[in-house]
Amino acid sequence: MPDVSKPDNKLSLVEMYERLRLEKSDSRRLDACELMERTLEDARGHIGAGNGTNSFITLDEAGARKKAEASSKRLLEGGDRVRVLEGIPLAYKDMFCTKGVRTTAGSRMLDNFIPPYSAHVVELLEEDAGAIGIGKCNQDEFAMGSYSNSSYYGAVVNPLRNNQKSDEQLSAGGSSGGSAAAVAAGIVPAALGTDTGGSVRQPAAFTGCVGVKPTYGLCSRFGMISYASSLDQAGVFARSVKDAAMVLYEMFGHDERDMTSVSHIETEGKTLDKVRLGIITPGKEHHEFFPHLQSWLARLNSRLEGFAGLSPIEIADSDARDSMLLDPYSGSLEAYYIIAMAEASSNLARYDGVRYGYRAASSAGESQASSMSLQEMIAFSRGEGFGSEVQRRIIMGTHVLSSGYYEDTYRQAQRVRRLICESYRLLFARYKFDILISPVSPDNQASALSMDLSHDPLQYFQDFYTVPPSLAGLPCLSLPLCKDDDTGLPFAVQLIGNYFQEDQLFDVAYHLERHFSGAS
Amino acid sequence: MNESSEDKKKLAVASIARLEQLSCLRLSDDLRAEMEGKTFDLVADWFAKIKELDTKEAEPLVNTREFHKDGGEVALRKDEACADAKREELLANAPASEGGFFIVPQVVE
Amino acid sequence: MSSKQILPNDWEVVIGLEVHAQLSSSSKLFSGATSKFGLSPNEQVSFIDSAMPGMLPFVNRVCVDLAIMSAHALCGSVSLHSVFERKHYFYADLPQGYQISQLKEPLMRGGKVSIALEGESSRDISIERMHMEQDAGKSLHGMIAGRTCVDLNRSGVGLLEIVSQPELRSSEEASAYVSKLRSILMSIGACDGNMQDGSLRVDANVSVRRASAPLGTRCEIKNLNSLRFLRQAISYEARRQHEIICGGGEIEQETRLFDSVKGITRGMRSKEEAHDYRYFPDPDIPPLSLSESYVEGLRAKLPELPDARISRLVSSYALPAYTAGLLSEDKYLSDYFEELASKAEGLSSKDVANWLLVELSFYLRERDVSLSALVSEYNLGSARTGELLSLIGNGKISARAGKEVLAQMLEQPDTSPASLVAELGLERLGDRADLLPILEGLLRDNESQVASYRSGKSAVFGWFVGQAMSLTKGRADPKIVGELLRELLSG
Repeated sequence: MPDVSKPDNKLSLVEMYERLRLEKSDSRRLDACELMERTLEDARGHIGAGNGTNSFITLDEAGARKKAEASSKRLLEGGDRVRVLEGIPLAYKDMFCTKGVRTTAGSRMLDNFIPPYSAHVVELLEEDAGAIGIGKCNQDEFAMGSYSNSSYYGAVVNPLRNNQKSDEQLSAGGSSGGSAAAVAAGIVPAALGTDTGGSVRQPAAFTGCVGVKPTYGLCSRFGMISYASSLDQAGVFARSVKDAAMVLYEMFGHDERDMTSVSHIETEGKTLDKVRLGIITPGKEHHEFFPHLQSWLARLNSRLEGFAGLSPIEIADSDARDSMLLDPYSGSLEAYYIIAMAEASSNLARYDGVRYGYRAASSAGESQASSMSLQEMIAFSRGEGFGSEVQRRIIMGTHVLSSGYYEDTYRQAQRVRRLICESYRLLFARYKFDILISPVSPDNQASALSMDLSHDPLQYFQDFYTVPPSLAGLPCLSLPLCKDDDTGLPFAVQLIGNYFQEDQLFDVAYHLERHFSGAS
Repeated sequence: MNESSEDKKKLAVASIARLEQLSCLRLSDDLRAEMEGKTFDLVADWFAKIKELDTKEAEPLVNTREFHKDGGEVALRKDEACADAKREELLANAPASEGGFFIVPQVVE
Repeated sequence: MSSKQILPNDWEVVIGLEVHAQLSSSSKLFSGATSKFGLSPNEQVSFIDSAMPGMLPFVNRVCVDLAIMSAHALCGSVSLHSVFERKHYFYADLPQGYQISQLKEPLMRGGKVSIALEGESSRDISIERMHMEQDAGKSLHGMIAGRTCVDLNRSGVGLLEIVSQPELRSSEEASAYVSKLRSILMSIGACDGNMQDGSLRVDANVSVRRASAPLGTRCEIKNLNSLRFLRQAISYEARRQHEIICGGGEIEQETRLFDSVKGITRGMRSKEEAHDYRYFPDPDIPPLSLSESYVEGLRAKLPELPDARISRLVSSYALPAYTAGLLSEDKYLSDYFEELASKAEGLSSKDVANWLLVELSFYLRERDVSLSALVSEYNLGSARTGELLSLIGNGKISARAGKEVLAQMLEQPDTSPASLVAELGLERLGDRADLLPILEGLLRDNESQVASYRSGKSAVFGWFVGQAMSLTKGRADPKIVGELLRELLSG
């Protein structure tokens, strides 16, 4: 009989991996079908507004059970038919197309859309690695937002509470809030999210998970619904660094169907004692906006005192730096939003109610002559199918690209982007930092769910720390170090590595994780 | 340039209407009013900010792969006709289809 | 009627052409769906073409190669770095809400096409640029009442867009330009040139002006899919604009369509606002980066191009440039000509060419088929037609008889020309022994004419020859008839 005090599905991925492979005679052996039943039972309580975390939009119970049976058989037979993630339940943000299973992007526009194909990363995880997707996670609509409160299917609720205000529901962050909550609540050991400007890292910090965004181009975007093509990347949530690494290593690699995916990966890691950690502080102009930064730094330094194994973190004060070096924070938010909105307005042009998705007045029955012209049908379908934040960004993105503005805005933002990449290149090459550390978000902790920032431009500042490495396409990871003494909420850091240095990133993160959990 | 707030409002209204048309997106009255008021201010701030930065020497960046040590050649696809979808699959999600076609309201030429 | 005659002498029409040519690859430009001509709707569409969520473009190598070879064939300069851009507008047959095209950095700049009108020396028409883009699907209006049906088979097929400088000055020149461009693209296998099926389409920018005045306002006539319509549209439009200007009016810059039934151009009913296509580089497609060696390597693979073939036909076969030009429009036609020229005894190559372009081509128009279809359907390979031409060349039958035989060759594809000649009794009478009795009989029956001739009316001689030909149903060899008549009449 399984130990009910710690349900199987709350185990770490590594533990599940080990226990699924134990001999049949071993009482600790995990059966894939039983594991799946427990997982599904748990998940059922988290679909729909008002139900638990509302982290799921769709559950594929029949499909998941069937795959669990097949995995169970393979595990019983043993041998080389057993794949790395055999029988492990996962969840996918509803931006990943899953064949035969509804995929909505959190939007009314795709409320009834059933893709006839799966995303490449899903194929790798399931067909190659044997993992099993149990369902689709809730999110900000089309990945646009930082609170997962713009979904057509209701807001995601953070499973964590502030000890000092324990009856207040908290936001899980966004846009991949559902995936983060599903992992934090222990429903699945790992889940996929998408990260464009921080949408994996920030919800990870808010919910106390590990969240990793790989180097741009490391994972294929084929079958992953596009928001901003030059920034989007698939990312992983897990409850430990090792678990996150296990999943990421099964889903990366060149896919010729995504021309932006890279075919050449070069890594050269250093031994831990040689790794140089650095913090870049933003220029003085930003210090006024973020009074938390100084206190964050102080807390981090006090915690890291006496940490054996890593060299002390150096602070690269932007004001003391080479004047040739442009501060990677300078202009990054503006450049990011200009680029992201422009690309989004273009990528969402395909949602017109013609070939799939929401169509206005379709309930009137197509046999009746409709008085709407084609242009009207498209305009109303989009006006009714998209939520307000998506509509705002489409309008703004169209504005950026329109004639008379394009040169000064989009192209200028791309120039700023190049300077930001140059900035990081110099930090890694000339200043010889290996890993950079920063806060994950200015608030640094989950805000109340009731606080609706959707109309407030302040919501865009949430991404201040996560956007610069997104623009540069660098791999980064959000790591919860410890809990705040008063609120009990996670205190997290963002680690940023150089291109394709995921190994190094995981290595450093793993050691930091061990140090802070007291196991040195 | 200091435009009167009246002029600014007219400009914003005309601009939002044009953007609605270009995006083929019908805004709700509330959202339209909000955007006529706020949106341009916000976006104008962003535009102003990045224009301030000294980017004279920099070429616009399209893809971060330029900064990889060895970008590698981008492979092009072999010319094989192999990806025709089954028509039923293609039309399965269509709001309206008939006789193998997608159906939309008639376009007046 | 050329447009030169439509406008008064001191006016000229200025024409620039945009030609869209479908690339003859097996699959589409950005997806692996079939790109050949389709029949049943929506059966040659990939999820990428249908712009389904998460789908991404994947550039076809052969399309790029064909484009590079086209650039070489057009003497243009290939950009080693070119960029695909998105051109945004909303329409039911444009699934992505944007067309992937090229704007600021097209694949080719410059280039030229040489044209030669009949009786004129050749001149070069400059090309401004050529780029790659994807074709849209098809919208069928009114098939179902009140509805438009969308077929995406054509959506995503690769196109070359070739833009000429506005250097054309007549509808004939425009027609010759498209014809030559078409034959160049066909010769390298880039496009099948089938205008009727829409493989090659032309947009014509037309304006008029007094000679040496600045350029007038132009109108664009879209989607012309035959050379005849192209010429008609240009002529009509030139006249229309001239009338307006002479009447004191101004030309409104607009897009117009050609009504092939009425032979007129008309403005589009919906006045479109000026489009803002919001072009920007497609972030899903890295810039195309080609190496010098790769590009030059493709140049080495070019087959014989039409201009080279024209030169060769002129020098090897002593053909006039215009005739050589007509033959070179189609590789099959020029190959056929060369085979026929080697097989037809007793005829000059020029005669062979003319026979091909006049006599045989008559049946191409009559039966509305291509030459290769005519050849295979009616067994008209160069061996068989060569036999016919040899019969003419060797004097066995007259040219006029040859026409009859040819007609019969189509009716009886399995019978040899020689057998048909015998069957129809069309052998030329060249034997003096056969002709003599007929001519003697002719003179006997027309003594008064004989007397007339002998008294000095030499014109009667011609009448006798005519009568002799008539009596023999054209089979008599006029040379021998003349000789014999002279002998008989003198003696």
